[in-house]
Amino acid sequence: MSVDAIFQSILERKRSDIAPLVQAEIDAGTEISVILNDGLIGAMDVVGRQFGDGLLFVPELLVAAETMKTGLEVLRPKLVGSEITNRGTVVIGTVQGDLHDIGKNLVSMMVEGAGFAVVDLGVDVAPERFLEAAREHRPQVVGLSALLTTSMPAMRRCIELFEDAEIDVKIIVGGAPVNQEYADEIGADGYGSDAPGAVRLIKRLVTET
Amino acid sequence: MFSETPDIVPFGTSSRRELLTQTQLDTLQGGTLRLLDEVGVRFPSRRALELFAEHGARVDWEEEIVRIPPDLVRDAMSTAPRSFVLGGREERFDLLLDGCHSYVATDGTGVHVVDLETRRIRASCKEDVAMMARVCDALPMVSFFWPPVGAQDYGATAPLHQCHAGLTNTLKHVRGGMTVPPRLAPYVVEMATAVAGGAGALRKRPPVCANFCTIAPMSQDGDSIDNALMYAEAGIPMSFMAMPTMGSTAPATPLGALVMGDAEVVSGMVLVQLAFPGAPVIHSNLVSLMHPRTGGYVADVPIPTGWISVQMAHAWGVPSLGGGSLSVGSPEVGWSAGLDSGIGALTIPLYGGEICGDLGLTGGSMILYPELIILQHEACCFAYELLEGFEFDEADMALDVIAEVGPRGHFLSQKHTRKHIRDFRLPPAEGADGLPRDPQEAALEEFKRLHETHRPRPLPDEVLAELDRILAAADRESEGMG
Repeated sequence: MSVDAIFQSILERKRSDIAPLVQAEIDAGTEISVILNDGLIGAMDVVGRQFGDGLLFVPELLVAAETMKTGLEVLRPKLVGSEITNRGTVVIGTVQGDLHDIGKNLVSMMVEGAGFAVVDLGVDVAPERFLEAAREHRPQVVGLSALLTTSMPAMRRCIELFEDAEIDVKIIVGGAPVNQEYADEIGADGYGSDAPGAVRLIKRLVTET
Repeated sequence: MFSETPDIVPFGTSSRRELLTQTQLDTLQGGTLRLLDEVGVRFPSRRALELFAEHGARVDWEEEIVRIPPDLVRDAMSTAPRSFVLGGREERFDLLLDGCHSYVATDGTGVHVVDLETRRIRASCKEDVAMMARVCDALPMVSFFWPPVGAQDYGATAPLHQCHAGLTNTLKHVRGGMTVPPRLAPYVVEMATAVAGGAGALRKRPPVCANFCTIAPMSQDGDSIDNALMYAEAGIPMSFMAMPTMGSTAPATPLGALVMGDAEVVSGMVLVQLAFPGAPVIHSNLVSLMHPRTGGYVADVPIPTGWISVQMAHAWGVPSLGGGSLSVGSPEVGWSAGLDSGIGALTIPLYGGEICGDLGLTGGSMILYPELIILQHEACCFAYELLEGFEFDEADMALDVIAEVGPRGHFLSQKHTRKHIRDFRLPPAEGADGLPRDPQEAALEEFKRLHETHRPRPLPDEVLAELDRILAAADRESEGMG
């Protein structure tokens, strides 16, 4: 089964190999769901476990996620209108006052690689913009990222705004200065210490929803 | 009644060493010039772009990237002062940044505090800044007060409240100018002017300095740049601080991170010099490592990047902040924190950055254990006494006393012994019985003692009232800013 080659290209982080491999499977008539679940998502599950076991470093995780995303872009036109549905929708962004996006982008790719639709709002995102996106896309989870200690209060403001608006969505936080205590203190529904951790958290929250 | 604030104690230069040769320094500086000329730095500030264009830099208006020719960099940097003063409330608290003194500073800006009483982690607030300012006022090795944590009980005006808490609770110099929305920056200038006693006094002995972090790779923050130009016009000194992280925001080699951080810092300083030639600027390039497994921030890599940064700053002819750090990476107070602090203290006099230290925070500069500063201060005292505090006095050989005691005697009953036995500072973490105590417990006890008893002399009533008025106006201005 040559979906194995797609699977392997993600594990080996061969960004330039994956697009033709995915296209070849589509052309060969392999079911889209098999390419997606057994190839792309299945490989990212393994990558996530390898990272959790300390076998992979962050740069390797990033390139694996980019490889998956390259393959997903080839597959995406076939997903539109198909019966394959996302596991859910996640709105993500770096909070207001913070321009850092490396961690947020990595989480975004890993979440997408786990089968979720991701709406990435970018950086320096105002609380009102998160709320607007939540109303528009009706996600199960909103992810707030921050790298600066000075921008962390924007996470609290965002959560307060969602509470005032009574939007039914789980809000999770992450980023270098954030920890579980801070997440608890500001009333977040969860904290992800790294990208695979964020994926596990989102899967759990969506299952609970 | 008010407490006496002890004089500050700088390290001298007698033990100074340099790591790089002049040829190596020239190579690094050549790399910086090449990056500035060919890659350029993003300045998302209309005023900055116009200033650069007026002086002959190549400006990509769409991408907001400035490419600065080497000659323009050199000409602009030649107007930056090598020496200047950061003022304290009294002249004895002034810091003379001249390459001959190294002053120890607190670190900033964390967000968590281990509460003094409950011992639980909570969000930091303005009173925490005031508490740390009062205690640091009593610690002679602390010469420069950077609010260690944020005043999170305030919104957009939090940096102004941090500045206020510093200025009203210590007689020492306060790094009070952090990035604020540009509309609020004039209030920082007003506060500094009120404490200095006028615009002229502010220029001569500014009681407040500012810090602006660059954004790696090769970018500046728009608000910071607009703040910097406002502060420079008023005479408030400022550091540009690069924090390149090897592996994520910077190349995964120390020299790559150093040269890129240098280019970011120098680009900010060049802008300020073009706008206000002679404005006091400080170079700060703090290289860190991305933790390869977690992506986290590893501040203290056992590679002498801090020392090289000091040499690079001095090669540009400006003072340095960094190069000798007591910063602690461990998440709590323990042996690892003690080791970090001890080694860091010993490096301060060796590499001679004008402002060194980073006392007070743990966990990647996020968490404040108030008592940690007591232990770090002791590490500084130990390093100072080891390297700086020894005075050679021939009389101290006490040959006459040795002759009087002679072979097989003892010195217990000698007047000379009674005269000198109190000259020595005993280990702080021991009880009155001479037995060792838990260092953290002893430090906490000493911190609480200082917190309860040390009351620095307040500012005059009219200045306090003026600061209150300025803060209230800033808080009103910030309403509705989000």
